[in-house]
Amino acid sequence: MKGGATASAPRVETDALFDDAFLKRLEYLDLVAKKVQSTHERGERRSKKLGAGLEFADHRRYTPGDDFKHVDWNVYARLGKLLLRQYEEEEDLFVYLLVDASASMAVGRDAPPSAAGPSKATGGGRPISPALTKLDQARRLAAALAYIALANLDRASLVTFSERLGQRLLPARGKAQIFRIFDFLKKTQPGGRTTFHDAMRGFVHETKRRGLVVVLSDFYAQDGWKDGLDYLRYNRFEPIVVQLVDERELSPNLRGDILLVDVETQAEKEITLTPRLLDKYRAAHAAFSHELEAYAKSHQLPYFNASVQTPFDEVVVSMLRKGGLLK
Amino acid sequence: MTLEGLPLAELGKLFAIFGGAMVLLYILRLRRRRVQVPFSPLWARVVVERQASSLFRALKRVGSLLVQLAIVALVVLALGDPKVGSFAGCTHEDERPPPPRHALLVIDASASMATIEGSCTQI
Repeated sequence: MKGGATASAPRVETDALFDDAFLKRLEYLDLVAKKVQSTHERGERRSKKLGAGLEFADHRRYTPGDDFKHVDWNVYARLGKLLLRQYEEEEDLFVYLLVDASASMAVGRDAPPSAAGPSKATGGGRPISPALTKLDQARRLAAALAYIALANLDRASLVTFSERLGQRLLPARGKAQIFRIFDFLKKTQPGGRTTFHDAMRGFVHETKRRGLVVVLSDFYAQDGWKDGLDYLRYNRFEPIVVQLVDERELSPNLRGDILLVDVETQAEKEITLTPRLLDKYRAAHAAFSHELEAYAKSHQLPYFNASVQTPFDEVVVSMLRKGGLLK
Repeated sequence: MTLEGLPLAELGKLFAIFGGAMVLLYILRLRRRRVQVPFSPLWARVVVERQASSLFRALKRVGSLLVQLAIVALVVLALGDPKVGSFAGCTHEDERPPPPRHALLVIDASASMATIEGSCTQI
């Protein structure tokens, strides 16, 4: 894929994560996004500010010195009053993609991947390699959402986090930036604990421009996730919750006496794994996800559950169709 | 009790070998398989262990080891062929003279014994 505006942009070597099949899917997703958006309205973000846009917002009384070209002559003809038309300000949308790069996102790398069939979103085509871990899926989703934002002439920025804010890719505009985003995501290495609140606080303090914040995480935070999401909302960001889930964690191929070791805290716990205990664990995980979804719904935040076993483009299409991503 | 099979020193060595193997297997059995999980607090919600059941499980493990050692000890002791009390000496290898016994002779003196066979009577 070549960037439209910059024909001289360097061609990046892509690995299995961002191979040619992945790039083709991005183009398809862009088309889907445009189609979805056209049913909801226009290209650029509606702002509450009044300014030099094209959309009519309001009238205000004429005062000496105002430009006559904005006078609403139809109103003058009907009511005899001089009123000026005011328009909405069109501004760039900043889309921040926060990728959880803690150790819990990389669990399962050595386990065999559950086979995801050919993607239904594009009618099959050349299958892309399945995501091995939640971090791989998060990378692909982040790249896809960033591409949609860039194609929409919005500014996309990527930030990784674990126990604190990690690497940051500054906001950029234009489809050609997608290669920088690929590079950035490929270099992201998992590690560290998840202290969600500290990471979100750091992000808010370092980010001047407000906008959409897409949080791609499993939300396995030692200090909980609620305070972090609240902090984003209180500081006028618009969080979008994307919870990454790996089905293999819910169905481990284990029985008997085992020693559980938390990959982030190294805390150990001896258990005897039985089918009944496994059912209870699945119920506890479902309750955890439900709690997160209920929080998002109660605060009118878009919530999406993204399984590692589902092809990333199907996840993105369902996100686009469900709504909440595009304004 | 006397040991008529392997001597006590040999029995001691055998018990040390097999008993030691039992203890080693017990220790290895205690080492559980380590499994990494992404979020242990979720497991902590479902595994609520009371202290009593944990103690009971530990006692059960030690008890099973003691039973197994007792079985090994009995098998090793059997190799020593122990003899207790009056059973001592009842073996073909015993060289001591048997205890004295009384012998009773009964002679048939009936008329039929007067018959001549060969050159003499049967009586």
